[in-house]
Amino acid sequence: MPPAPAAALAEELRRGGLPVELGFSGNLGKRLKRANKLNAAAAVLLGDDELAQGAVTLRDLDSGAQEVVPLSALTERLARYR
Amino acid sequence: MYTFTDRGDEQITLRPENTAGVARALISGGLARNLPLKFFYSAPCSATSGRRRPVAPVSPDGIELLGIAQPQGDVEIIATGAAVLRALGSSSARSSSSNTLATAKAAPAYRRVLVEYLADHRGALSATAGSASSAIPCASSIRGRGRPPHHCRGAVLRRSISTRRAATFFAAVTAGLTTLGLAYRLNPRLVRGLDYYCHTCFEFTCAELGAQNTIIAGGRYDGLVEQMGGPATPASAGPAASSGSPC
Repeated sequence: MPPAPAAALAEELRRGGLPVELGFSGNLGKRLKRANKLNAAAAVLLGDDELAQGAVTLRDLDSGAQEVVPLSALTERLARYR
Repeated sequence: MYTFTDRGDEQITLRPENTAGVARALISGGLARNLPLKFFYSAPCSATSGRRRPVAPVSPDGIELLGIAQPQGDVEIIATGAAVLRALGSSSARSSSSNTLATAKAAPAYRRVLVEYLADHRGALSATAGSASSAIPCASSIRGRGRPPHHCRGAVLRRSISTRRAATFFAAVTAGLTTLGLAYRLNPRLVRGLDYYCHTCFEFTCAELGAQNTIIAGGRYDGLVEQMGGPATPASAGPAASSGSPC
């Protein structure tokens, strides 16, 4: 089950007009596979360590590149996928 | 459900909602291999009034989320209902309430207890409700906001069959709603009128609409797909916006 921060973040991004799907089950690989199958442009990975620092990992699903992004900058960083 | 025999002697039942149709499509279309899946639709069905006669056909919009066993699936569905109402952008008073129907496994036992109870109070029931009580008594008889009819006040609530598992599940749903800042009220008398619902049920009401004031309602139906011959599929479900113009 996605942790509460994931649900809250998804809700926030949706309210900002982005279509967001949550990963409900499975390991990271499975979830990413499913995101690819959905033709998602990007995946936001919420790891405990990063979350503790107020950040998430943003993975571009086309290039596979990923970077750690502060939560406060996430919406802006996601704007390019609109 | 409203059932009648037409002039050609065929028995016709007006479908009360579209969830079962979606479950059937999932099975016959072989889609169950690709879960989880989300569906939305707008399709006609029959709304019955409180007196169990059909009113004008409606074409509710609905959504279904199939393949998510976790409570978060229910939270997603309820959040979608809230988002729809938010997008409609009216300021009218609306409220959301939720209840747990416990596990589907416990339902037959609950039905026995309720049928026995209603049999003891048969005299107080209307003719229609009386005949219905041996079949599926829950919805018509104990449903209602505010004070229930006198003969129903002592009826055992569906919530009372709740197991620890069901309670934990429902607690996760309400915690999820709180996380999203979605206000709700617990209504132990809230039920879904159809057999296949279990665990979470919810509705949004609009104060301006009077007695039939539900504008969005839904619930979880983990057993339905299997009951219809498909693989065991957890699923939750469908805001069905009822009457024509949401306020």
